[in-house]
Amino acid sequence: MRKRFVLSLAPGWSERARISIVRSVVWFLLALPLAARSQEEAAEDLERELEQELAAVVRPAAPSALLPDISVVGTFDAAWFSDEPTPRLPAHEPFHRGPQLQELELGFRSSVDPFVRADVFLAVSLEGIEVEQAYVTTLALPAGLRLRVGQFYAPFGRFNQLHYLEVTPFADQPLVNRRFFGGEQLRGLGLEVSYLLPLPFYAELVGAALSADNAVSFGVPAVEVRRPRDLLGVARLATAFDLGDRLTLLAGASYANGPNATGGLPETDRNRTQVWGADFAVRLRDAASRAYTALQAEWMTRRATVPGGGFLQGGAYLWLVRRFDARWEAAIRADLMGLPTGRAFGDPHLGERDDESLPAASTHEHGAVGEFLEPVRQRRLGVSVSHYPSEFQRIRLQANHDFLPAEGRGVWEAFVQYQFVIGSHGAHVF
Amino acid sequence: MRALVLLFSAFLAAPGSARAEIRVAATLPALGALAREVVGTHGTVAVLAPPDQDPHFVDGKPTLILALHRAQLLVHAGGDLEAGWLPTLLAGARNGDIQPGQPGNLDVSTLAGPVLEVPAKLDRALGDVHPRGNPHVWLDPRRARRIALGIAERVAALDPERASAYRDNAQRFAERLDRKIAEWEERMRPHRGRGFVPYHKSLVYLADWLGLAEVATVEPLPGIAPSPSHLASLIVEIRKREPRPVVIAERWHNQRIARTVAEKAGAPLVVVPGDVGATRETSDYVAFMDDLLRRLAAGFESAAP
Repeated sequence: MRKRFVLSLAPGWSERARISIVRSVVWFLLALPLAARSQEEAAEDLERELEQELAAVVRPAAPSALLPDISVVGTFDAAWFSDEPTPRLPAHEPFHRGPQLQELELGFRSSVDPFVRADVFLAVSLEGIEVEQAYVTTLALPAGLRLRVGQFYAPFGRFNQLHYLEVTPFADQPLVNRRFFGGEQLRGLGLEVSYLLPLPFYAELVGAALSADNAVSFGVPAVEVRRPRDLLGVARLATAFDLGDRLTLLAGASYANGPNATGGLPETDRNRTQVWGADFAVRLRDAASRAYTALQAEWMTRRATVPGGGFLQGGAYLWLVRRFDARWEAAIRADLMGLPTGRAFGDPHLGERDDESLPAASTHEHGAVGEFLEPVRQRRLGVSVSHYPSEFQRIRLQANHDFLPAEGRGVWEAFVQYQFVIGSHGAHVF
Repeated sequence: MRALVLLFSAFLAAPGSARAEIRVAATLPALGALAREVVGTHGTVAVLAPPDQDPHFVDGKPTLILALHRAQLLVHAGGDLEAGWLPTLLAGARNGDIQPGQPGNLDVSTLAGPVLEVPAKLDRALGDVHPRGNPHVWLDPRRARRIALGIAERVAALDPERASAYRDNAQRFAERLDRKIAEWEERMRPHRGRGFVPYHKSLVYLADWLGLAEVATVEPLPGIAPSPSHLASLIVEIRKREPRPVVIAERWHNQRIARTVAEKAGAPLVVVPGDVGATRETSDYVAFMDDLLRRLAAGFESAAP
């Protein structure tokens, strides 16, 4: 069949020649796919080569240069309490039984120009949207100076300056921070100046003037600032030392002074709050590992004068964290309110006064000495375990025993917390 | 008291004596080692990251702010490698000279030639990807050479009085490196084409230089901890190959997992002791690479068919 077909192809040629031609043609046809395959391979190699060569020039995935770094941090919890929770302001802490959106934080970070950078953090909750922090920071002031302008956490202590849901080992605040500064931490609108002292070791001096609209310790009955005394002043000295590559010690002292909202409009001169704070932290990193052990302690004392008298109250917390590796972390925390034991001086009588002249649409109960300003004795012990499936997710279990000796009641609390981070990851504060 | 005043004025005077020496800060020990070759005796080089820690997860300790505050030049790997800790320190440094975009800010990923593994798609479902490509460039000495020459140009621009000294230092280092590169390539030639299994994708530039083939990685995706099922399939994959690929782990990776994979797969394990300065024998870049390649060659030889 084949022969006849070939013979009919070239009638003038000898049969031998014809057959050898056919043989070559058949071999050629058989070899074609192989040749094509090696050509394909060569093309692939070339493509790989080109990809590498051009990688530096063509950057298809490079994020758009003019958009700020955007991140979203979602924090949810489910809480259980054995009894009524001890007083807390409904903000980002677990405060009722059942599931809760603690916060959905939107972060935007970028250089504004060569001189300043901006950081904006919006907190979205089921109640609405709030400006958590929004500030610009100078990058290039001379003489070790740095300015911050906008709304930011006051430079008081260590915990208060942190977005605690993200970077601390517990789902809630230390008692002393909750009692002194409320659910939204001590923050305000204003200006901060910090100075890196020209010393052979790290030491930073910070001063800030902020609007006094804290929910607990600081506030003015009117939004109008009539004189500097209506503002909240904060000062801090912080230092840090390395003992080798692995051990770091940090210590700081802070002071805040501002008007409180007791007593109504004309009283801000006499009704003032002062808070003194001392903090200490030590962190030991394991050799060649993500693991570390950290201890952090803060002590604060607050003196508030209110019409007719005043209150003195102190409190402290101490926590110990062990990060075992990239995935697991465990922590224990002790809280103590009443260090020194809270006491009243004079005859603070406010709170009974019924003052209808005060603005109603305000976060403060103006004129009243709220339960957060009154001295209290309270003790709490908490433990937590956190698991990080990756850098961008965290699952946390926490249990507290919260005890009010005066009321003779203790509350067991248990939280399950879940957090995710999407978008660009911001650098962590140490 | 007088001692205190003296001490204080000495430090007040420190910025004034800036003329005398150029002050460089480098994020990683290897980059610091290259900068040291260039700067020589004409300046100081401060290194931020300790040599035994994963460069992705360095503690941004406030104490590091001091070195950045004083630096005239910051040398960093770039490509977002230090994104988890450097930005906070830079904002705290109060030093306009070393901010991004300034001449005092040197991103070495712009110097080291083509960047490998630039992701075509950015998605964290693919792990903790680096949007600008793989930033672990310094383990390829040809790239290290380019980095050193690039640092010299930058330092020369910042301190023109000693420009020629920096360029000479860099040139001498480059020549020394050329001889070493030839020697290293000769030593590693028998192992060309051999397979290896790194813990993290941190050896692509080394592999690119030596013609090694990355078979798989111990972690399934960058920054994701390996599951037992991933490890099982990895071990099976390694066992299929003759000669056996070498498992390579840096010291900060999970040594127990790396050891288990190597043992179960019958493959040798090579532990990279960290960065320059991690051991007494690896005090400069050349010594570090010598040590690294010795370990690597020993690994390949022990798995020879």
